[in-house]
Amino acid sequence: MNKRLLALVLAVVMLMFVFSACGGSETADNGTGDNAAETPSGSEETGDTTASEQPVTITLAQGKDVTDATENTIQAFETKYPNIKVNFQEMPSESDQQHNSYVTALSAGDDSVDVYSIDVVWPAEFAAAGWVEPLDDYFPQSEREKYLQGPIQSCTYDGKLYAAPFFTDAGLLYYRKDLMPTPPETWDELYNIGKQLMDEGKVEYGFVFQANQYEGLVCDALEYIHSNNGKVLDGSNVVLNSENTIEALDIFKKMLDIAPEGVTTYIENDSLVAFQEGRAAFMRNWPYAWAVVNSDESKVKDKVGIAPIPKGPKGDATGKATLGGWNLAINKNSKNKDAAWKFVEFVISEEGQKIQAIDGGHLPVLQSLYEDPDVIKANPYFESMYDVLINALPRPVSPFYPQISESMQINIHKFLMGEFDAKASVENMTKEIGEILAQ
Amino acid sequence: MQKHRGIRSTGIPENILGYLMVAPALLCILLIAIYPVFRTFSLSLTDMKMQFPNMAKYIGLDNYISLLQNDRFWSATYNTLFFTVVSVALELVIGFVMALIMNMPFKGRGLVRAAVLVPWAVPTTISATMWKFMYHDQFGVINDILFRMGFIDQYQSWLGSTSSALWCAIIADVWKTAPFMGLLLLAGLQTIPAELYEAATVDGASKVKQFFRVTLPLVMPTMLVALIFRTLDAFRVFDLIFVLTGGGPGNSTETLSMYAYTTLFRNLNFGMGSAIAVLIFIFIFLISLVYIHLLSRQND
Amino acid sequence: MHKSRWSNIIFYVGVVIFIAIIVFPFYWLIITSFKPPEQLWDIPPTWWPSRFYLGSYIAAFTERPFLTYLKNSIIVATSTTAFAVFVTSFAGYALARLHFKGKNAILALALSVSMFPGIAIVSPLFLMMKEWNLLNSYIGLILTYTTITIPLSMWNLTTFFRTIPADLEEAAKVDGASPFYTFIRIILPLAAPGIFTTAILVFIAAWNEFLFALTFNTEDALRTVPVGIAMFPGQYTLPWGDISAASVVVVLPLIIMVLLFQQRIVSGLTAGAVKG
Repeated sequence: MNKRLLALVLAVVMLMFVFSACGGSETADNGTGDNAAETPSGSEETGDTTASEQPVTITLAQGKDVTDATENTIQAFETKYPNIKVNFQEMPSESDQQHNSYVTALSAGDDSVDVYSIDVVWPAEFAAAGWVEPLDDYFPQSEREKYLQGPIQSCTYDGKLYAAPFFTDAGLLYYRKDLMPTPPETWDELYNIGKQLMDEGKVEYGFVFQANQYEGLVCDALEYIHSNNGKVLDGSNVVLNSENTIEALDIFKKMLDIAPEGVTTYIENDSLVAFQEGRAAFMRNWPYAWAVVNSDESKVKDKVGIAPIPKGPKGDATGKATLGGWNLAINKNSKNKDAAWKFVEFVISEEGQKIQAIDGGHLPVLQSLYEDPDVIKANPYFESMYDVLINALPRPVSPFYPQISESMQINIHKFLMGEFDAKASVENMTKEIGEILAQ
Repeated sequence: MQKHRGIRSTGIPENILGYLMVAPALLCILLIAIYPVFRTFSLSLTDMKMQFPNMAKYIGLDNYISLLQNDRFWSATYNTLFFTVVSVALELVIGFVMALIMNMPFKGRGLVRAAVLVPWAVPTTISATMWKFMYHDQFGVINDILFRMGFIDQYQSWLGSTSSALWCAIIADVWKTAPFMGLLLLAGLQTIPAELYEAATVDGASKVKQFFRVTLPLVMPTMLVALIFRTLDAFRVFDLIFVLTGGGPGNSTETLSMYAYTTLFRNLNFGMGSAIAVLIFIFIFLISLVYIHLLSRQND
Repeated sequence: MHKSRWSNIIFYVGVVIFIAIIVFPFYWLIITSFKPPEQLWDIPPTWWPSRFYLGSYIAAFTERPFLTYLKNSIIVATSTTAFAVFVTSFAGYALARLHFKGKNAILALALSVSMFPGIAIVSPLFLMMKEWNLLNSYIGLILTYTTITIPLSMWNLTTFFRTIPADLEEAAKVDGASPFYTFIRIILPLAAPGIFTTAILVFIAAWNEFLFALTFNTEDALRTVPVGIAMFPGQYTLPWGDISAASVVVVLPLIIMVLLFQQRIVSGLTAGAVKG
């Protein structure tokens, strides 16, 4: 029994293998055939429903909002446009998972969501796939000039606008103002101050940042690269391989000397804990950290200042932060595009942006709000953010951004781990990104 | 008895009834397990991307060719094999010791047997999270213990170094599964008749000799079966790596499953991801072949 | 073996160290869940909380959707258990007792399916679930889990049914009962212990599954416990206390279950391995 059974297992497994090997080529066509059947069957009868007469309901998909901002925005919008109801669909809060759900729905031609809140690195991908409505006609050039240009750039792909900026975010340098009179302006200064404070025993670590192998590593690394006049893409050319980039990466690696040994596993939260416990002199983080370092649980409450990201030796007058934040895009299959635009228009209007800024603490994309007394009163540090934001640069714009980012994560992390030098790292990335773009 | 006539008179022939009773289970297996394997293979011959599903076209073996030329694939294969071989070997040794201990009569044996099952029953994501906290470079208790015992002179970043991260994953895996191995081996030990040991003792064989002459050969079939399950399980390791390191540092803990997952669900490259999945399948098939060969030789 | 007192002591010390290593991570988990926020980031870490702080437990249940995760896991795991055991008790009986062709092939097929790596079928299953509109649903996961637990369950039950003496059925046959009637009325009640054991194993497997749950159900409202906890950390804050508290809540019932049914679980797990 036993032996026969084993022989059978073997036979079955082998048969399956053989079957799959020869059945493959024909089923491949089926495979693609099936996929063709998944083509969006989206209806074309859109656009007729104006917001004027009949009540319509539009759906907004957005990651979980722990503040009241989204709810208040919707309320204010519904008061203003009584005929349009907004249904809020909460999405996973992790970017990867959210991306996944969006892609799944959109590639199936789903029309249940009208407005998507998307990460600044996604518009190119969504536009190339034809999932989102171009907004050029809705959002004229003259209007766009009132907004921060970085976020507008992140909504643009192939010369067309595919999303409207929602709120923004940018990397910042947090420093201990009780330990130094002024923040450093260059990476070298930062390194020296950090090192000195460590030697004096005032802090355990000079600098904490995000160097785990994940998306945040790309954000951090790009700040060194951009602040030293390096670049990843120029149009569709990979221009990473330059003296400036190599120098920038070497500076990045040098920072490991004044960072905790485990910084290569740190994401935002780990660096925040180290800084908030008073163990580090500097921290690179996003604006959200401001409220945390000044909360009652923080050991450095009221001892922290913020400054722009430092610059490199070949850099411009100021350092270049990496741009984060979210954009709003309209589903191409939406049956209520005009109503959807009305909502987007409201969110990016002064009224909508003020709600986001005051109730949500989100950085507005509308330039004028950085001088608005109500907004500044609610978030005093916004005032100093303006200079950071107008200098902030987006990550490379490409429909294949996830793969570009992955190549950068792996090669930069390997470089930080000492597997090869900056030059080899840059060469690998140039080669891989070139292949990714060629597909 | 009268009322049961009805059932009896429906009188389905036994072999038909047999097929009917097996059908639901078989159907599930065919639809949700066998059919997808074929479809994975057909997907792997296309350049299908989730963003552009209708633009997918047949590209033959291109995905496989580029994978086989890709260093990342080979380093993932190496990591997976290293993880599998080292953790299964450690589990076998530790599991054997546990089984020998649990096979002895001593006070509290029941408690020990129950305790060793607990790590096995806990979701891997939870045990991995526990270990991740313990490995932390600043607040981790492992640094504290080793420091107090004088093994290290300063806190280490266990998960942040390419030389230790994979070992961290192995230790967490051994902790979780060695007890399971121990229980399987214990069951094998318990089938060995005591007379054999008595006879060996009469012959004057030492304990060590008894182990190699009596215990090991007789427990071998059970051990091989346990090894098959553990090896295949370790080879597809995913949850643990996903939580503990996410594949870092410097991709040094990226296993094949992790690589396939990233390609499939982060880059949404279903063609390439499926090709990796098929290769994993082939590796698993080869490993099973080796074990099945060993087992059938055992039985001869 | 241990005649001398010393070797006895050494033996027990060894056993205690073994147990300590097994138990320690749980100890650390529980301690962390009770640490007050100000103690979480102590260096070196404290081994005993200065006061027992319940805030993490409250936060896990009120500020996070942990109850939803629990509910989802319970729904998915119990339904899977019910389906898998239902389907395979028929199959198991047929394979153990009835005469028809291809029995060994079916058992072999099940065995080879149990060795499938999840990653090998996740991409087409994802597409199939998408076509059937079963992403972000309970049914999609239940269907998948039922399938992946069928082999284990089928083998276990087949083995168990074989151990039930055949005389009872013979007697029923003589009385004129149909095989189906015999199965429902006579065999099933006798097989209750085996079915129970199988149910525990299936339940644990479904409760702990990660890959399919991670990829199929991306909406927070439909996540199961393993995915929920893996995603708990979030990018911006480091809620060790909350994660630990939630883990303790999940782990405690499992520990109790394992301690209560320890012998059954072991016999179920080893049935396959020893009898081959």
